Parts: sequence; C-alpha cells; structure tokens
Amino acid sequence: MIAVQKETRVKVEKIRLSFGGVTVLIDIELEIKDNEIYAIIGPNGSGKTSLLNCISGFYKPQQGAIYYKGKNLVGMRPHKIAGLGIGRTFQNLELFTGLSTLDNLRAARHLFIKSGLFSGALYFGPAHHEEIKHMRVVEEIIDFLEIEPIRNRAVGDLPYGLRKRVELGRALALEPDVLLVDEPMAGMNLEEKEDLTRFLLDIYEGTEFGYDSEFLKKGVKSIVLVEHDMGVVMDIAERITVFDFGRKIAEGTPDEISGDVKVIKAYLGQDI
Amino acid sequence: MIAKGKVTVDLEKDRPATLSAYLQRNAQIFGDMVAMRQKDYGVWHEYSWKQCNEMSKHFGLGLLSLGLNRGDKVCLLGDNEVETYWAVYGLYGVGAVVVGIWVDALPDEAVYYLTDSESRFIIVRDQEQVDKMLRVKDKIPLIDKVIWWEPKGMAAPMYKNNPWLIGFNDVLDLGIKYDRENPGAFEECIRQVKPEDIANMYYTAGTTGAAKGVVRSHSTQVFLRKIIDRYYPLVPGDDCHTMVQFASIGEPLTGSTANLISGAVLNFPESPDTTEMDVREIAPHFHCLTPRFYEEIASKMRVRIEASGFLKRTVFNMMLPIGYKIVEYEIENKEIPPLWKFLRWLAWWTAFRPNLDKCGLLKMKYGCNSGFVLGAHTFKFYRAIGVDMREFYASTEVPLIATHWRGHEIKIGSLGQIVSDVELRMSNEGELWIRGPHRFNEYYRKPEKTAAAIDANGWYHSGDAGYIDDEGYVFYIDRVTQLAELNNGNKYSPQAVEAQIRFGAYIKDCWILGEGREYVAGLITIDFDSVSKWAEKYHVPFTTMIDLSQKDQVAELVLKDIKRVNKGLPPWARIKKFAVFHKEFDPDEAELTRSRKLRREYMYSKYKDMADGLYSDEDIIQISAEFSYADGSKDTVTAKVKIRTIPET
Amino acid sequence: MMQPCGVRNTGYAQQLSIVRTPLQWVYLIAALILAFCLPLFASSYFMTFMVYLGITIISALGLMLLSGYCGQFSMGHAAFMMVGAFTTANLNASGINFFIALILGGIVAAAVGVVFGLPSGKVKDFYLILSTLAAQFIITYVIVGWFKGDVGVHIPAVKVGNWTLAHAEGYWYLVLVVLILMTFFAKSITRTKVGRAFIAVRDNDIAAEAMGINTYGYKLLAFAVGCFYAGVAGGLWAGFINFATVDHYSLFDSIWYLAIVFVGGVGTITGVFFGSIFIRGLKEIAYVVSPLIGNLLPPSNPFAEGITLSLPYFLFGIILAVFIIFEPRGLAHRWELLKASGRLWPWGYW
Repeated sequence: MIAVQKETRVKVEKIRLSFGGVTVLIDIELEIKDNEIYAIIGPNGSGKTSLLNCISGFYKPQQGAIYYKGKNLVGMRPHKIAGLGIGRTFQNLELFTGLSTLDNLRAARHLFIKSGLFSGALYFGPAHHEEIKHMRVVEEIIDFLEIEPIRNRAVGDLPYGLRKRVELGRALALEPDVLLVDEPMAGMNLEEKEDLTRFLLDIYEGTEFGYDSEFLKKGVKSIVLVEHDMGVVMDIAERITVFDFGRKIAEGTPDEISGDVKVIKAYLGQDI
Repeated sequence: MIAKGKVTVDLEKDRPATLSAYLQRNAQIFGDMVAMRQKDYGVWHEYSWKQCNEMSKHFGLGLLSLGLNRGDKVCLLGDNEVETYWAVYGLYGVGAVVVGIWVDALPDEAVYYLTDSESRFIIVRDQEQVDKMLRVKDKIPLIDKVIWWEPKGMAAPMYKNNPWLIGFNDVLDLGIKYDRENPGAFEECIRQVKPEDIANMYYTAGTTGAAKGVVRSHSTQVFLRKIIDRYYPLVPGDDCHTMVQFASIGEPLTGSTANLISGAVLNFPESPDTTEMDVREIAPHFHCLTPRFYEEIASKMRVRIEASGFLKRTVFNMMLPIGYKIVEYEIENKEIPPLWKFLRWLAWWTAFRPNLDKCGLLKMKYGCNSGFVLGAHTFKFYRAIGVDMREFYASTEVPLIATHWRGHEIKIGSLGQIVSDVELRMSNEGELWIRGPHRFNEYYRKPEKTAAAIDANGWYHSGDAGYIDDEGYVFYIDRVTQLAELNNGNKYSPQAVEAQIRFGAYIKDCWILGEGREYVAGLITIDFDSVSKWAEKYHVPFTTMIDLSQKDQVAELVLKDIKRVNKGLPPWARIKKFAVFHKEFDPDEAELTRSRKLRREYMYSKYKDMADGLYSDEDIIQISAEFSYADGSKDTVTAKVKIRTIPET
Repeated sequence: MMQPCGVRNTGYAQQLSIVRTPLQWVYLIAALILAFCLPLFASSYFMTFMVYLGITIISALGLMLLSGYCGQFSMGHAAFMMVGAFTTANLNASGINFFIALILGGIVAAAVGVVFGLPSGKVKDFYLILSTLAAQFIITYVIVGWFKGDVGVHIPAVKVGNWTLAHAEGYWYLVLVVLILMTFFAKSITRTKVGRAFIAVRDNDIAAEAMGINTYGYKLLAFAVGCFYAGVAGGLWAGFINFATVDHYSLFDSIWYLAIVFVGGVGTITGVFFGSIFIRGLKEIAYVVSPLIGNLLPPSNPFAEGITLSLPYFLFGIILAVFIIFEPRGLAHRWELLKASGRLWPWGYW
C-alpha cells in the first residue's frame, strides 16, 4: 500500500503564549493534515485549550505563527478566522441559552446569508428566500444529529447531553474545513459518550446521500480533538499529540503513544 | 400542486373489487388531491394521488424486473412512512402478497415468518433492520433481495457493495426503465388481479404452537372496509394517523383501506419521539387504539388539568358533571332536555373543546377501542368529554364482529351490536361462532388448523366465550380455554370476574369459585387501609382486620361492587353467594404466586371448609388456619366468617 | 408558539410567518382599521396624546434594537432625537422638503450615533453607559453652541400635497404611516440575519465571534439603526410642535426611554408598545393626579407645592423598582405568559 502524502491544513509554528508571568505554551509546533482525526491529550493545565484558543483567535500568542489557507491567523479577529473555515466547539458550551435550538443553529448560518440590513428590513424578497433556504439547511443538521424533538425548546432548558449535540450542530452549521472539538466527552455517561462518538465519526465521514447539503455529504475532513477520555481517543484518533506543562512531549499513532515512556510517566500512569 | 377540492365518492357505485384497482381509480378521480403527508425536516411534505400512483407503479414494476411473480409473498418490516405505503400499493398492483412483520421481532422470529410464508423479498426501513437480516442471511435462502429505504448509514461500503441489498430509489429506477420498455404493464397487472387473489397475510400470536399466517384476499379486505364504513364513515380528505404496522389487523382497519377506498389522507409523523406533537398537527378524524393508549391519554389529561391554576381547574371540574349527565341520558336512550343541551354546548366551548385541542383529538369523529374491553370508568370519561367512543370487537380472522352502531346507543361493558353482513351465534359451549364476507381465507400452509377453525358451514370458531343479550348486544367473557364449568355445563370465567371485582376501591383481591358446583360464589378480601378509613369516616367501630371484615356495613360496601359486576354477566354466571374473608391472600402462605396469581388448587385444599360452606345452607363458617410468622414460628387463627346471599333482583 | 390543533406547516414560509391563522389576520386588520379611524371619534386632547405616543414608540423601537436586542445600553437616546430634530428643522428652513429633511435627519443622527458608539469595541455595560451619557451632554452643548439650540428653530406646518397637517388629527396619519413602516422594518430586522447577529452579540459575544459574527461591526450597526429611529422621531416631533428646541430632549427623557425598553420587555417588539403605552400613560395620569393630591394638602404644608412637581418622578421610581423586583423581563413577558396560559387552557402545562 502506498502511503498517500496528506496535505497540511493548519501549520502551527513555534507558538509561545504567556499571561503575565505565566507561560502557557512554549514553542509549540505541529501540523494538522487533511483526512485525519488528530487528538491532543495531556494533563489539566497543559495548554491544550489555550492552543485551540490561539488557533481560533481568542488568544494572541506573543511569538509564532499559525498558517491556514496561506494566511497567518495570529492577530486576526476570531470572526474572520471562523469565516475562513475553522469551526470550534467549547468545553463550557457557548450557546445562546435564551434561544431555541432552531434559532441557535440559524444564528450560526450567519456567514452564508448574504442579505444585510436593507433587504432584511424589507424582508419580502431576497431576505425571505434566504431564510427559507437556510431553514432547510438547519433542519438537515437537526435531522443529522437526531434532535428533532427539541428543535423549539430553549437551549437553557435542555439536559447537558443534548446541549452538547446542539453545540456540535452550531459548529457544523459553519460548514468548517477544520473542526476543533474541545473535550466533548466531559460529563457524559457511557451511553452518551458512545452516541457522541458516533456523531463525531458521522461528521467526519459524511453521509454521501440522504441530504441536499454538500457539507453533510462530504463530511468535515480534519478534526482536532482535545480529550481526556483515553478510550475514545485511542479508538478514533489517527495521530495523537501529548502536551505537558505547555510543551509538546510526544506525537505519533495511538500505538506509539501508548508505548511511549515519557507519556506514560507524564500522564497515562496507571490508567493503561 | 396539491388541489384542495371536495370530491364525494359513492362507495356503492365506483366500486372496483380489488385494492389495486382502487389505486388506479383514485389517481383518476382524486388526481391532485393529497393522498399522504410525511413530516420531514420540520414541515409536512404532501404527495398527491397521482404522485403516489407513480411511485407505487415504479416500485411494483421494479420488483417485477427483479424477478417477482404474481402471487409471491413479500415481507415488510419497518415503521410506517410514505415509502411503506408506496411499496404496499405497488405490491398490490402487481398481484403480490404483503406479509407484515413486527418491527421489534427478534431475528429468529423474523426468520420464522420469512420461511413460513415462503417470501421472496423483504422490505425493511433502515440500517438496523438490514443488520438484522444480514445476521440471519443463511437461514433465509429464499429471499432474493433486501430492499431498504432510509439512507442514513447505508453509504458504507459493506452495504453498497453487497448485491443482496438494494435501495428503494434503485428499485424505482428499475421500475421507470421497465415502464419505458413495457408501457401499460402496471395497468395490465392490475387488470389481472382477481378478488380472490391474496392481498395480505397477518401472523397471529402463537399461544398454542407456532404463529399462524392468516390469509386475507382482496375481496375480504374490500368487504372489511364496506362494513366499517357503515358505522365509521370517512370522506375523502379526512386525516388518519396510522402507526399500526402491517403485521397487525389494525392496519387495514385504519390505514390502507381508509386511504384507498374512502380517500382518507394518511399522515406520518417525523420520528417516534415527536409523535405526540405531530399528532396534534395531524388532528386525525379516526382513531382505533388499545385501552392502554386511551388510559394513558386520559390520565395525561387529568394530570395536566389538576396541575393548572385555580380558574382552569374549577371551570373544567364544573363542566365535567354536565358531560357525565349527558352520558347517562344517552345510555338510557332518553331525549336530552333543552336546558342540558345548552349546558352541553357551554361545557363544550369552555372546557371540552380546548381540552381535546391540546391532545390532538379535536377533529376525531369516532374513537374506537379494540383489544380488551375498556374500563367502564374510562369509557364514560371519554364520552363525557365529547369523544364519540365506541367499543370494537374484532379479531385477525374476522376483523369486525360487533361494534356500537351509533354514538349514543351505548351499553357499557358490551362490545356493541353485531354489524351487518355478519352472523354471530353461540355454540353449546358458549363459544362465539362468526360468519361473514370479510372472514379470512385460511391459515397459510396449515390445513389442519384451518379445518379446526373454520367448519364445513363457514363458521369461524373464535375461541372466545361470550353471549348475546336479547337486544343484540355482544358481551365478551374470556377465552374459551380459560373458562371453568358449573355442574350444569354452563361456563364462566373466574379470571374475568375477579379482574372486574378488583376494580372496586375497597377490594383488594377476589377468589371466584364454582367449578363443578351449581352456582358461582366469591370470596372477597378487603383493602384494610381504605376500608378502615371509610369505617372511621362513617363511625363503624372495629378492632382488628378480622373484626372489620365481618361487619355487615363492610359487606354492604362489597355487595355494591359485586352487584356492579353481576350486571355485566350472563344470568348463570352471576355471583349468588359471597363472603368477606378475614385475611388477605398471602404469597408467603403459598396462596398466591410471587406474581400475585391465585393458586387455586392449594386454596381449595386449604380452605375446603370455606369453599364447602359457600355451597351449604350455613350462615357462618368457622375457619381455623395455621399460619407462620416471618421468623418461622407458627400460630393458629380462628375466625368466624359470615356467608352472605345476594338477593335476586 | 402553540398553534391550534390541526394547523400544519407545509413549507418553511408558513413556519416563519408571524400571522399564521385566519383569526390572527382578523385581529391585525381590525387593529389597523381602528387606528386609522381613531380621529373620527376621539377628542383633540386624546389625539395629541396619541401623536406623542406614536413618536415615542418610533424612538423606543430604535432604542429597543440598540439596547434590547444588541445589549448596548445607551443613556443618550434623547440627544440623538435632538440631532434629528435640529437637522430636520435646519434643512427644512433652508428650503428642503420636509420628508427628505426628515430622512436626512435620521441619517445624521445615525452617523452621530456611530461616533458615540465607537467605544463599544473596548468597553461594555456600565462603562458604555457612561460614554453614552457623555453623548447626552456633549450633543446638547454642541447644539446650543452652534445650532441655536437655546433659541430654537422654527419649522413651518408640514404639508402633504395640498393638505396641511397642522392639527393632531391630521398629523396622526403621518405618524401612523411612519410608525407602521418603522415597526415593520424593525420586526423584519429582528427576524433576519442582522437581528440574530444583534441577539448573538448581546447574549454571548464569544460564541458570536466563533460563529463568524463581527461583533464590533454589529455593535456600531446597532448604534446606527437605533439612532436613525431616534432621529426620525425627533424630526417628527419638531414637525408637530413646529419648533426644535433642546428642552424636550433632556437626560431625563433619555432615562424615560430606557425605562420604556426595560418595563416593556428587553428583546421584544411588542415590549416597545407595552412599555410606551405604560410609561406615557403613567406620565399623563401623574400629571393629572399630582395637582389634585397637591390640593388636598393645606397650602402651608411644605409638601404641597413639591408634590405637583415631583409626583411623576416619584411614581416613576417606584414603578421601576417594582418591575426590577417582580418582573425583570417586562410586560411583554407577562403578556407572553398570559397568552401561553390561555393557549394551554384547560391544561397547566403541555
């Protein structure tokens, strides 16, 4: 079998991030490639979420660059980065709790709706057509994630597991090329973890038929997964990076990582 | 473009004789009117008769091109959606037989149905069902292809590259090609389908031996609709909600025949979880459900009304007695006085109409209860709140025997009157025999069972024990095999009577005796908690359970319930004597099983004196029984139990 | 929103529509007919009140979009109305048609609003309020100094064709038409992408950024839209009283407007109507009632004179406090609860 050289999507070069006197990320270098699920693991406080925040633009590293689609993301506003195709879920679920599931997902279609203030104010005409078109897209996402029963319920009233799915839907509605998923399994029981893992895999693989939307059919081909649950990581990730105290201490396939002495010492310990 | 017209159908005139011909007729006379609605992606997608006809045609022809022959059986395993009905109508059109399988059937059960019916194809809904089939593939060699219609998950290579599996849309494509190459083929197939050809097969639950395939031809199905139509007429455009699967005889009662013959619209909810909300949007005109559903809906109503504010609750609770009063007028077949008519109108607009609006039952013309007799209390409740609730006596073999003919001619506890075109008689053993044009044809490949069920004169031996009163109302007692026999040969059902008596609020349990005796007698145990509270309220002094149970006032309480039950029993099965037992039946004493079923033989031997006493002339029987404490130590209890005779009314 | 049993949506257009059933259309058309026929049977005093009410609603719509939907609390709303009034007056005085001057007044107010909204990129909540408070004073100062604010600018009576809208009855139609249009625009904005972006910025700006929403840009847009409404309202007011002066656009008026948004219900369009009617009605009642109460006390009582002047403000403070404690989501929320309860009749919940 010939190993196909995969294209690099996101290139992180020598990122250094400090807050006051505390250095959170030290000389981080990694590449996220096309067609892979790439996991980042490490103890709490090792800088995993901070790296995601740097990539999506919420933190600005003092040194280093992050290249995506030929541009350097460092210094860009988060909404511009989202517009380039990087989608993100948050560990603490950043949703609009007062709005319904449907409205949350429709809000996420922001970048794809062309009509602005004036056609919006007139409503009938282009704005109306776009509302209908994107309603259909949002409904397909709802069907994909099997959340039809809660489409009209305020997100704040939903149980935690369903809110996580809405969060995933919100990120999906951006039609991202790269999806950053921050600790999706936190707080889930076994059945919920299995469900969420299946949805992640469905998002990755795409469905090929059954929907009109291209992005659901094609799937999101690069997923970065920050996670603590070793079972899930070993199961679905193709490459794993290990962080410890802000440094990258190991990178490789699941087999390589589970055998790596440094990693075992730093993190896995007796869990394996 | 879905046309909204009102077309009236004269069922006597435009009467094809096969279900397939009805599809054609509908495409012609209804054309662009809505035939089916499916909720998907949050909105209702409507399909006209013309569109459904096209889909069915292409599906049927597609199967023909895959090698289906006239008369072949095709199994169907999946929840009801538009594709289900397109497939079924297509199969009817090409003269194939539809065999429904329950969705939750285990793989081995499915294998039995598939092999027993000798099916050539199976249609399933989704990946889960496909996996089920793949697991048992080697046990079902006759199956040529598995057809699936829900695309989620079916893109994986293991399914795509498997030639045994084929998607619904691919079958349609084959059908389109076949239609192009053989124009008019589908219409020709429909012409060739004769009324005696088999349309459906339903497997009845196999309590005695393996499940039997009940064969029904096109003519029996069409007759079925004709008969139902007399009592539950539907007009084109009426909405039906069909969750009943093709494995059950309930389906032609509420679904395919209503759609094909009466022109009613079938509506399919989005998913099982959204069914409640979707039913509210459908607002069906006709519902045939089991008692469990009706009781659930009724308790849901009560709970939510109780939980509302003072104003809402009070208004409803004030209006409810008006409803009950109207029901009483109906039962006694009396003219409702103008004052009550006005009150009924008031109650409807202030309380009952909004209530039904919330459940989605607002547009319901008739509510039918099928399966078991609905508790009288619930039945009356529904009639009181404005639902035209009717009892329905049907079995898979003869799917309509008796029902309440008109909404207001109700006899509580009965199953209604015999319907037209059906003959019903009682055998010497008290079994109900039925004859009618919609009776099933045979049990598939089981001629001995068929011969046992259908006798030389065409009577179907139902296995049900019941009786018909002088006004023609049918009463159901129990399955014949469950009956006990008095010494004069009359049969009675101990379990049915016990179940009825247990409904009483003050009664805990009941033991009905009569096997080999002259009449039926009962031993009742009271519910100590509720009876003691009642006794406190009505100042009846007592000391122990033994003391309380023998009070005459308590016996009067119990007598009320016995009288209630007796009213619904045939004269020979009525309880003549009873006694209130001094203690409860105890599983620790081996009187009941752990699942609280009565252990009759043991009871007969342990309490022989009591049993004999009920058939003697004695008034008081002294019982001495030994019982053991939890720690194993034993003690003897003596009690004097009074025997009471029920006065003749 | 719960529709009656049997109402089905066969397309998204139906699902998105505000007026869904024939009965709802009947209500809407009846309300419109009533509004247009009002001058036929109402007194002149009442019509004057209605004109003020209408203008208040137009202005409050703008503030609702800015503060209620986008969460940028502005304490200078009356000042932006002032900008609109003076622009309209000055342009009209130099010969420009009143209606064009009105729109230009709105645009200038929008531009000024954006300038004072610039800090919203860096500051939030309390600090932003201080910045808009500064707007109130700076604008007043500028207008007094350079635009004859203390003396005032005269506007001749507004003419539509040959018809002079001199009295309240006539002017009411102008206000009504503008009100219907502006309400429609506001409601449409809230139903589309821009409105959702506003709500996103208000509720969770991190999530909004992650969704690709340019939060700073939309905050400025909210200022522009909100102040446009204020400017148009100010111009209409000047046209009614035929005069533009700083007296009607004080800090206290700004606070009244914030109260309308808050009492009516943050984040709703119906809240604007509820709040405006409530606050304006309250003011009227207070102005009528306070002299009566003042007269009850003997003249020597030190409170007698003070009451007439201060009772409206006293009532205002108490009402506001009551709402904060008992119904922070405003009258619109109460109305929604009532409607929901009625729809659920006779059930308590679904």
